[in-house]
Amino acid sequence: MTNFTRIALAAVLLVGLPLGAAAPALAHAALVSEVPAADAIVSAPLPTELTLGFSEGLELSFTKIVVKGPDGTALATGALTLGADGKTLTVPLAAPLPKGTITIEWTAVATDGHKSKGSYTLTVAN
Amino acid sequence: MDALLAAARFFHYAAAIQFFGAAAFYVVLVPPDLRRDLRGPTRILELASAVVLLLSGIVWLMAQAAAMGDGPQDALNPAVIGTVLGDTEFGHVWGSRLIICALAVVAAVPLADGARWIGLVLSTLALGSLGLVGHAAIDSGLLGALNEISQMLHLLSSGFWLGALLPLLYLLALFRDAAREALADGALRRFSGLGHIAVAILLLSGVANTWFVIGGRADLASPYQQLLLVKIGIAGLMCVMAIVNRYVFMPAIPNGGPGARQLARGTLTEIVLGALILALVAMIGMMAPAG
Repeated sequence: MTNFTRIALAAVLLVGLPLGAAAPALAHAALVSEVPAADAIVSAPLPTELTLGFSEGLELSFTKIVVKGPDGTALATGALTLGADGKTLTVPLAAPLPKGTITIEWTAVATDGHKSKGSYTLTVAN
Repeated sequence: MDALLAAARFFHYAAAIQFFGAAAFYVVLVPPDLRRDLRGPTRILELASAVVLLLSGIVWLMAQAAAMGDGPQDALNPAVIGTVLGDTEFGHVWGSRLIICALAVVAAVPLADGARWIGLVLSTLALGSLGLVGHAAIDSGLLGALNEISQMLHLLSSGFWLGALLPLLYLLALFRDAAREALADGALRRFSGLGHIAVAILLLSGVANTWFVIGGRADLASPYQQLLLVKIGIAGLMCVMAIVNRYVFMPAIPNGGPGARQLARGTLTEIVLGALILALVAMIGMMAPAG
C-alpha cells in the first residue's frame, strides 16, 4: 500500500465515522402527565391541587401556571412546588374549581434554559 | 434575541477555545529556547480571548435572562438576572464562570513567563465548565455525570486542536530562519504527537455525546440532527485536512522544502473549517435535539 492510498483510506474511514459531537443542546420540557388528566371530566370531590409531570427537570423560578375559569379569568393558585424528581409540578388551588371548562396554561423552563409552553383543559361537571 | 444569544455563544466558544489552545500551546509545546519568539503572540492571543470570553459571557447571561423570563426587556432587568444567577442550574455554573473569566482577564496582562501556567489553569476551567450547562445539565445521576465528563473532554480536546492553530501559524513562520528550524520542528512534532491523542479523544467523546443527546431518537427530519450531520461532515473535512497536513505537507518541510508554506495554508483551511463548526455549535445548542 502506498503512502497515498493509506492516507486516502484513513480519510475515508474518518469521514465515515460519526465525528461530530452534540453541542450542549437545549431540550424542550414536554408535558407528559396531568392529574386530573387532560380533557377529564371531574366532579365532586373536586381536586384541591393540579399535578403536571414534565419530561425534563424544571427551573421553578421561571415556570408559570395560569388556571383559567370558564369565563377566561385567572383563578387564584398557591405557590408552585416541585417534586423530588425535579420534574413534577404541583399547583395548589385556592378555591374549588367553578363549573365548566377550565384551561390550564403552562410555561416551563427546563434546567438547560429552554422554555416551552402549552395548555390543556378540564371540564368540571355539576 | 435568539440572534444575540447565538452570537454570544459563538464568540464565547471561540474565545474559550482560543484561550485554552494558546495557553496550552505555550506552556506544553514551546521549548525554552523558542519562548522569546512566541511569548508575545500567545500572550496577546490569551488576553484578547479572555476579554472576548468575559464580554460574551455577560451577553450570554443577559440573553438567557430574556429567554427564561418574559422577553427582551428582561435582558436588562437586574431582578431577573439575579434570579437566573441565584436560582437556576445555568446561573449557578455561570456565576462561577464569569468570575473565572474576570480573573483570566486580570491574569493575562502581567504574567511573567514562570506564571503562564495560571492562564492554562484558568482557561481549562473556563472551557471545561462549558460542559456543565446546556443539554449536559439535563440528566441527573450517573448518566448526567458521564455526559458532562464526555462533553468536557470534547471541549478540551477541541480547544487543544483548534486553539493551537493560530499559534501554529507563528511557529511555522520561524521555519524560515535556519537557526530556529530545528527547535520549531521539535515543537511541531510535539503538537503533532499530542494532536493525534486530542483528535482521538475528540472523535470518541463526539460519538458519546451524540449518543447521550440523541440516543434512539434518530430522526433526519429534525433540524437539530440535520445541522449536526453538517457539523460532522465539516469535522470529517477537518480531519482529512489534518491528515494531509501531517502526512503530506509536514514531511516536505526539511531542507527548505515547500512543506512549511503548504502546512501554513492547510492550517488556515483548518481555521476556516473550525470557525464554521463553532457557528453551527452556536446554533445547534439552541435547538431541541429531537421532535
